[in-house]
Amino acid sequence: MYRNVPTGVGSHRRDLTLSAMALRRVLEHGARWAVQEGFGRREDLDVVEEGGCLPGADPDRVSDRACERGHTQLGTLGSGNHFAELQYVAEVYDARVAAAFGLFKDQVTIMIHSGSRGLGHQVCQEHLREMVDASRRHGIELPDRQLCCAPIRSPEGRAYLAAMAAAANFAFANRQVMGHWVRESVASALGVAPDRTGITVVYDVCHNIAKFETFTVKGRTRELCVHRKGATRAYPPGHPQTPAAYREVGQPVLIPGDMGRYSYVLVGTERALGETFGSACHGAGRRMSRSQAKRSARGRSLLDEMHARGVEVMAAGMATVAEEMPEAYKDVADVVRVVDAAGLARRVAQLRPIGVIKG
Amino acid sequence: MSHEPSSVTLERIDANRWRIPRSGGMRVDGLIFADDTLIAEIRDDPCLEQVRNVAHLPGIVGASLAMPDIHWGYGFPIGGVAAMDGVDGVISPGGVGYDIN
Repeated sequence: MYRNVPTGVGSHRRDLTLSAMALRRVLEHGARWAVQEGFGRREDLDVVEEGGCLPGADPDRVSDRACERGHTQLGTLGSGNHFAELQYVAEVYDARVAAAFGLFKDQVTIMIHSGSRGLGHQVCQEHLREMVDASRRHGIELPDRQLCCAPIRSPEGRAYLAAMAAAANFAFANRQVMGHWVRESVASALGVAPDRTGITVVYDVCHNIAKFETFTVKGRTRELCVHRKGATRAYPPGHPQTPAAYREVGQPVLIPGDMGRYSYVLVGTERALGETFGSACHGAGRRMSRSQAKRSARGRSLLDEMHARGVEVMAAGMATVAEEMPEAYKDVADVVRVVDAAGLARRVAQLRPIGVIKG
Repeated sequence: MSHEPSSVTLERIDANRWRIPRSGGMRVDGLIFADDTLIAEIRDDPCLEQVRNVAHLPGIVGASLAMPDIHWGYGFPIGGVAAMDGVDGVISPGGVGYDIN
């Protein structure tokens, strides 16, 4: 896996180079492009939020600089909090829902956390600059200029939404490509054909996105633009956007923890729909800044510490491992307990890490 | 950058919910999901002020929401959810963040 899934800034793989035309198709079609090009299977898309493609993406709204950054980064993990993890199902809390998700105790699972890489970063940076002026032009009073924004239907608002959707599609394609390479890695390690690994996708979810979704608010049906920043969608059973395979139980909600402890799979509820516009948490949340974590890592061998806990870590750079060490994060079990107790999503299974790949 | 010590009013709703009541230019309440353990970590963090600030945005519906893993982010807190009216509301890149999707 570490050899097959590039972690760093640019990809070393020679078998995936994107022409300018191909990048446009990635931005327009997201994970669908990846499946058409042979990365993964058609049925993978049934369990990706929005089928792996946000509508309204316009490649012309993505700057040349952003495209340049994306060009060599499709199928790369990236650094920061991104990771690919080999895990096992340590606990099952709800056997019926776990079975519907295809999960069972002691099963090996793989979790990938990555996004739109430099392309999305560039899109955000450029549009933030424009939005500062846009807020002023539209007479929006802001308590903090970092909240700069524009009316959804204004030219500036539309431009950002079209670029954001394109970046989101890049992220869907990025994970789809990496998922394919993970399947190939497992196939080669087990000495079986790539279509005989038995690896199926449980779910693929956004966690930094703004999307148009329909809700009933005080008895009235309304289309809302839901901003979820470090939060994931958590739809209940029976919702038309919950994948058909999970319609009876609800949408899987994936909550990664830190690299040393555990991650969780939850399931969406009706209550979240009414109370949080169908949203739940995304992860553990940092409790140390990156620089604090690096200071605390000085003089320690984090790889040995992780090995002693039964977790093998392979990383492109040790700085990332220091920033991402387990104690830099809150205990995700605390976070999940609140989400479960508040009724926003229910616990289904706990996953524990065996091997971690960091950029 | 608004990193002053937090002067945000927090009211307990139940064991896992806290409210920042609407005041000043806020259009809706802030609603934070946290228990005693997690609220202790969040209480003096500037991210609570961010929850309050987001409640000022035009077209926001329901409440400015914060998940238990909330921490400081650019403009909007990370772990924040804000639903805007699809016609009269606003869109903000800070509400999505740099790592799009």
